[in-house]
Amino acid sequence: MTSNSPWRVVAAPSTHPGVPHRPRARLLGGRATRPAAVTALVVVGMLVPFVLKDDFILGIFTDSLVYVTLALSYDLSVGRVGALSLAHPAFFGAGAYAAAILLEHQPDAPLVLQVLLAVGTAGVLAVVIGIPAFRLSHLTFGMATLGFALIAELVAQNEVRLTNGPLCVAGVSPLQAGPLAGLGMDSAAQQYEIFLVLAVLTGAFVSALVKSRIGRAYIAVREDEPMAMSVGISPKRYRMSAFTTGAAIAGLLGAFYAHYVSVVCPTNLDISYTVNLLVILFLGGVGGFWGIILAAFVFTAIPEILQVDPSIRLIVYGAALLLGISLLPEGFEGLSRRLSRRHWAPKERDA
Amino acid sequence: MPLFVSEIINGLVLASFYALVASGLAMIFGVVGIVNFAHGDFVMLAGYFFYEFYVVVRLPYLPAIILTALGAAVIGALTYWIALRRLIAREWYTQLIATLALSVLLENIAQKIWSPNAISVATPFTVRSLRLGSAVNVSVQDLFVFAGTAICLLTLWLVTTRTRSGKAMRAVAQNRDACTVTGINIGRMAMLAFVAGTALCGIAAALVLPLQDVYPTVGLSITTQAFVVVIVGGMGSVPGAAVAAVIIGLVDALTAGYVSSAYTDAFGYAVMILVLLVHPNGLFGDRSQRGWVGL
Repeated sequence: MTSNSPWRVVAAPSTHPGVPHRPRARLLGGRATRPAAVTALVVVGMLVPFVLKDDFILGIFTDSLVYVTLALSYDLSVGRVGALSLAHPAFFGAGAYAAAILLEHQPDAPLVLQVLLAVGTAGVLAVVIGIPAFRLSHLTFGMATLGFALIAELVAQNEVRLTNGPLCVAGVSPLQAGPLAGLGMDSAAQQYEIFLVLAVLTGAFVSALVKSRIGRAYIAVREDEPMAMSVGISPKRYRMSAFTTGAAIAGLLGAFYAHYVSVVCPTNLDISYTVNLLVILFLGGVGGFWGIILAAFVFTAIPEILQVDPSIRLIVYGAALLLGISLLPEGFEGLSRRLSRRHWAPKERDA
Repeated sequence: MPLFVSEIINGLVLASFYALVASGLAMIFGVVGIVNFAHGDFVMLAGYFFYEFYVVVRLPYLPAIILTALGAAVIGALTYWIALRRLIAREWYTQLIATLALSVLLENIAQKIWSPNAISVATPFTVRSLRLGSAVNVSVQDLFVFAGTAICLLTLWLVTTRTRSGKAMRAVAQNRDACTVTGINIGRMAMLAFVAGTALCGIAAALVLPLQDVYPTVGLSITTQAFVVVIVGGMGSVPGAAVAAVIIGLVDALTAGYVSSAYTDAFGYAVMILVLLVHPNGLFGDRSQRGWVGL
């Protein structure tokens, strides 16, 4: 059953004869998820700061973890329900601003309150933008969300009384070790651990969500909208839920990010973040899991290690994305499909 | 009252600019089938071309306009030939990401070549103005913008309705299979539409640059406004885009004059959402959101 659902943003199932179609619900390995291997990976990740004493390298790891969380939450909307939103950094920035502005007025607001406010702001914004945007076609949805992202940046620039405009909301103190936070954010190692925990929690949440009944409904909505509707799954509601959940995770991450960078600026909402995320998602494999995590590390670490000027980085990313997508015969997803075909190579059968 | 009249004139100038840019965008969507997220960046690039021709090379105004349009068309043709022609038969999200990547690429290249600072180009026509009534001035440049837009849209209409290749272009927008059967070269028509769309960007930039600044990041905001116009008008409909351009141009100018100039983009966007809540396919869009309603 191959459909031509316009909301499909992942590679179409294999149509090669003899290759059975397996739905791409293979999270965390799928075929052979080894909880032990994942646990070992997390433990190794936890131990990194004890081996690596270089704050600069550790900072790159932390930034990569921020991108892992962002990309996984972004993929809920792009990969799982096929809604190609271009507003994800706006939700992230909204969360960061919410936490920073709260702290500016109430310096001793508890962390729970900051996180709740950040998640609430991002979630409410997602609902507000989602209601009109999901009325549009798959094509114009991207456009509408981009417009929203631009307006979010305008608000951050111009609502000087709230956001200080281009002067940024500064002086968010690093998270203090407390009964709730457990960990402070004073050293690079502690920052790394906090973002690792966030990334692992997001990964666990996303994989549990996708394997659940809701996750299967997401696949149904993405693959075949009329079919999904015929069994009582409301495409709009499920798309909305994926979009909002992704936004809420981004908002939560934003609250912690505000403590990490201590200054929240309008540039935190910039479109260039969307481009980074698209590169990560589409080169790592939309609707995937480990590929996205790997791509988040590769595409965050390489430019930082090479100390590339951001505008050169964007020229290279833009050219790579454009030429890669148009010159590779089947695009990146074709490449990854060709690689993953080995996994589902047809067993020799009597034909 | 004089303020109101001059805001209306500003709005019509803006509307002319949007009409030129958005009709190219609508045509590219209709014929090529690609949602071109880099459209505003072609305008931005053409703005810098015009600056080079008019200020650096010191050409007279009319040759500078023509060369700017040609320059934009050449860049459009190159982009189409190198990258976009391979995307015609591809999935919509591939096209969308490719043009978004193109937009980022053009913006950052412009930033490297011309620096991130805004430049403005004043022509003698910017300051020379005609008095209307007691206190209202219309600059000669405003009149040039109106005349240039009228000439371009009229030419576009004549070409698409009277010439063989224009009719072929509309045929491609309506039914590609039928075009294959009757021997219309779809690839060539798509290229023609793309080049015409970028040439319109060039003319729009050359007409408006004497009144507005250009800077590398302006492309994205032009793209957004042009999309608002195209969506309000109905995706792929060129006349719809022209009508919507007038609405959005007036809304932008009046809100900028009376409410807040910082949020011009946001007000156009609000109009788009209002229109879509009533007409999900835009004012002139067909139900499939694909296809050309005809000029």
